[in-house]
Amino acid sequence: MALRQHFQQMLADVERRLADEGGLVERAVDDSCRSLLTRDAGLAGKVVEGDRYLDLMEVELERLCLDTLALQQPMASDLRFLAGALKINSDLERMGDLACNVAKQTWRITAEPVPEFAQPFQELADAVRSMVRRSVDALLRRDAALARDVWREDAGVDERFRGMLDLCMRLMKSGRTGVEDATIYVAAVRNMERIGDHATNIAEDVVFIVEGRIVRHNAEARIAPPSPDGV
Amino acid sequence: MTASAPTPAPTTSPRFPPTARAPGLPLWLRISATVLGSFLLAALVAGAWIGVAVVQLAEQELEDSLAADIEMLVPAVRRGLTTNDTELLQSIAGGATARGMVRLTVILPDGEVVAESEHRLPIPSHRDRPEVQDALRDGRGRAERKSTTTSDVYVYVAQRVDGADGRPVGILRIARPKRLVQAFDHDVIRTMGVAALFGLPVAALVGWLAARRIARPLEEMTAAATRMAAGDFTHVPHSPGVGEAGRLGSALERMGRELSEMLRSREQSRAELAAILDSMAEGVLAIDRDERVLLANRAVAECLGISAAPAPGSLLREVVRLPEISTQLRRALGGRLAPEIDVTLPGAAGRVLAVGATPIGVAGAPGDDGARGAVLVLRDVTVVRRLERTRLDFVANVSHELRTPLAAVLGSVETVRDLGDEEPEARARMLETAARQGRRLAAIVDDLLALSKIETEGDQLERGPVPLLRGLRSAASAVAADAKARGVTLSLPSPEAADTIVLGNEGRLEQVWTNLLANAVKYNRPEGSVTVTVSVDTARRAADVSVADTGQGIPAEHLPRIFERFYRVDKGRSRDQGGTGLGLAIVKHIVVAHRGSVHVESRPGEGSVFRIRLPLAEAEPTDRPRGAVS
Repeated sequence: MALRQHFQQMLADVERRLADEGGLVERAVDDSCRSLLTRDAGLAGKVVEGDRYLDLMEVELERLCLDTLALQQPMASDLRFLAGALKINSDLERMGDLACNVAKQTWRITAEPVPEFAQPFQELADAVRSMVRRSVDALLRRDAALARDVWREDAGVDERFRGMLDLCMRLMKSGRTGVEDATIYVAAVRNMERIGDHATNIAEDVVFIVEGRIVRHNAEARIAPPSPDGV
Repeated sequence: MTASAPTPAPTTSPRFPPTARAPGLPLWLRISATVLGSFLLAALVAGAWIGVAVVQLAEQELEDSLAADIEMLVPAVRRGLTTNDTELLQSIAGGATARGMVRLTVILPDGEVVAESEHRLPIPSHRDRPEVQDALRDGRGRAERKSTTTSDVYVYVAQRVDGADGRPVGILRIARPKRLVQAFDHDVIRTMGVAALFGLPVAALVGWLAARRIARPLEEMTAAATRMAAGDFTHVPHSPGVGEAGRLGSALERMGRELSEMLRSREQSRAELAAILDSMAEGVLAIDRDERVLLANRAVAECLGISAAPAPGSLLREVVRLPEISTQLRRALGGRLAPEIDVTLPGAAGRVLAVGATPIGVAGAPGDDGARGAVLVLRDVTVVRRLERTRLDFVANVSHELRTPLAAVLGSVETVRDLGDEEPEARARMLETAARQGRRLAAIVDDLLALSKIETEGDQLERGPVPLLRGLRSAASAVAADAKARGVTLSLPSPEAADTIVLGNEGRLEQVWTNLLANAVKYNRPEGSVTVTVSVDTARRAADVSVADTGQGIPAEHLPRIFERFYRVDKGRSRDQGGTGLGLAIVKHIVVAHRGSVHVESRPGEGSVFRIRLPLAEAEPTDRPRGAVS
């Protein structure tokens, strides 16, 4: 009984750490966007600092997951949870790196981004942050339907992403911004969009944890929950 | 998976089921059944005992009467036997029958029957009869048996009759059928049965009444206790009956009253606490060791920008995952006080929360490290931080704004000094520059002083009825020269129109009009126009003054900030035109001090319209107390 309780405690600990990492990624997404738009070098530094912390957390959490797998030899949903947690862990770490990339552009950019770029970029960042938030929500609540919502959100983010690439092109052509800054815009937008992609990875892992199905490369299964007759 | 507690949570499963036992038969029925049963048992035992006693008594009676009969007859029989007078003996026997002695037999010692009341002689020898045997041996014999001659059961009593010499001369035997006694027995039993039959319903009734008397209060109390257990205190029993039930009832009643009072006061204090917490502007979150929400007030939702406050029992990380809040929480759960830190909420709005955490109930128990929980207090400091920022910016701006003309003055003066007597034209130009920049410096200082005075005055501004047109006209004449130089036409409301009287301070209002008109002229296009109109909103008791120009307009993104001190739409240009950067700030402060409002609309390329709303003066020209003027 005590062993079992210990195991449950370990699982709760894994979950808590994942939630903490999710919070850090959300913070990094928001801060990196803000630092770029306001050319706040100090804030950018904070994001880079936060990413280092996130990296440490990732390593620690990976060790905890492996320890739990090795010592407790979990079955069924607990095993799926730990396997999923390992993947989500590395996804979150990668998302932190990408946010870090956005923040680092702050040091390279030559002028405060033009409002035509600033507003949609803030919206993109908010949409991506919402995806991160909801994918972690789906994990904590074991909510496959919410995870599927995150995929749907990703379609919107991709659309914004394409629109913003066009915008950057226009800004460059019209000479509204210099080529250097425009390429920085493009890099920032791309990194931001990649964070959204990682959020969909998390959502896929959540579906795996909840339903035990690998839906990564199956567009149909991504959308539809399993039919009741199990087909 | 659920987070498991480090210390096992106390089992909440009820050790006692709510209903202790199936109710079965009602109490009153059980009591009356018991009473009835005991009555029946008592009746049975008593009946049996009385019956046996009566039968024994009757038998004894029978024997006694037989013995008495024998005693009475013995002398006559003795005479008959000694004289061998069978006639006499026979007549005794016959007489005995007639007297109800039923059966009389006289037997010789050898067993020969010499007289018999029932049967004719000769009768076989009675020598072997046990009563005869007993009588011969002991003088008296007794037996009970079925007669060989008749089929009835008889009770026989035999008496040895001794002669004068002491030798037995014969035996006198009297018998009576037991039937007589038995009939009497049956009578007794029947009577008792009838009595029992009548007694039974009475006993049942008495039992039922007694049962009701005991059971009813108990039932009432049971029902009341059940209701109380379910939380219903509306039917507290009022002390039923006397004795134990009464005492129990009154105890129950008292308990119910106290319990309901206690619950009510607890509920009330809980509601009060919730109301107090909900009325707080600060978000208050109580969190337990497992980071589950114990309590959250309404402001939490507002502070965090979520739809509803987190439900008690939910994990905090499901609601909010801001790293700073988690850090504060962990620190407090570790038993340390976490002083407030600023947390910027994600999103474009950039709201700032001050988040502090306090550990609650640090347990002294060994092996219990850290706190039992923590209280997080969230305070929305967005406005406070913005104000602080504004003040810091203001100081930086003032320094900058004062420095720029000062640098020009110093530069010019130093140049003039270095030039000496050479280049008089350049010297004159430099001095002119120094003078111009000196005036600018003076204008800025004037404006700053005015602004600070207006701010200090605030609500204490002296106000009275002020005719609008007079102030507007004097402001127009102040900017007339400038307007003429730029070819801008000023148009005021026609003087014929009735003047509008507002409640205000004439000097300050003139400053408003001067600043607005000066701006309208300054930023107008050449040959443009400035139109001032006045309208009255009688419903709101307010006058609206609008100043419209035909200038370049103000870009939309600058509109929210143009009333800030030193804020310039086009930094270089307005300074060149001699603005201090404080004109509109002064306008805003004066209008706000008048409890009025100022709005601006602008279309780039077409011009801007500034609308000032001021309260109308009341009929009587006195400054009314606050609140009367709206």
